[in-house]
Amino acid sequence: MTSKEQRAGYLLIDNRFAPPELGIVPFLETATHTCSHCHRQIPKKPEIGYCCKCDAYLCDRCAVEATVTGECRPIAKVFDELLTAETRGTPLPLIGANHGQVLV
Amino acid sequence: MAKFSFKHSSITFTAVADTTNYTDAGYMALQGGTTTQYTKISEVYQGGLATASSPTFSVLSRDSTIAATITGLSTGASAAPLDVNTAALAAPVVAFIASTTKPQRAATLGLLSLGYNAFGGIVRWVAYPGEEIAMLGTAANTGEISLSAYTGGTPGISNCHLVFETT
Repeated sequence: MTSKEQRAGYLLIDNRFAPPELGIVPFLETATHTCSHCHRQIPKKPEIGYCCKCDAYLCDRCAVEATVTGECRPIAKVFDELLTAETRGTPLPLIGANHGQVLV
Repeated sequence: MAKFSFKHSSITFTAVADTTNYTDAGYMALQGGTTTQYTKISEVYQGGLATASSPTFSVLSRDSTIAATITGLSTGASAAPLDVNTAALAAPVVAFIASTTKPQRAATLGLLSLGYNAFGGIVRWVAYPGEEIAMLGTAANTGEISLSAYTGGTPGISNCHLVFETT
């Protein structure tokens, strides 16, 4: 059984051989986590959003929304609803109607 | 499932704001081949080729306006399967850098910030298997993902690739 930490991605931004520029980090090598609700990548940090319903990490935006609405809405579920509507020929669901603009 | 690489040997991104038309040959994008096609992006790479300092504020993002009447890839750009034995798909994912109706980056659906200096900088992101960035179909906000440069800086020439897997 793998832990969530083991399921981290890898991000490298290496500007050590480039001249310094404002807004450009000289060097960054970090693990990244995938937000379960929108797939945004979250660089590893001490405090990270978490959804106890889908047992997965969340980005800050989705963590706030999950807290406010109390609803767990993984992007896999969103895609499933889209596929169902597409297959049945019914109108596409108003995704994210109560989720700000995460997936409208 | 088949894995593909969408690469561009020498692309100079054009810096644009969110919800603004992209400029042809100034971005790289993937759009589903059918309304039910599921695609996962597992790797993004950028290697700077500029000869002067070129801060490039690259962003991987979903698109809120998707491209239409897409132009085929031109010299330097290609999308090919990683495995030579991959069977040809009836409706492959559409990789493109130009179109008649321009795509627009969504304002709130950014996935990955990859700002770097194209004067020698390198960027690489790799997903853990099962934790890839997914897109579905061809609809706005869910069916198209692009790698582009956000406003600011002076984007420089770079070579890039996106590795994706599709069903």
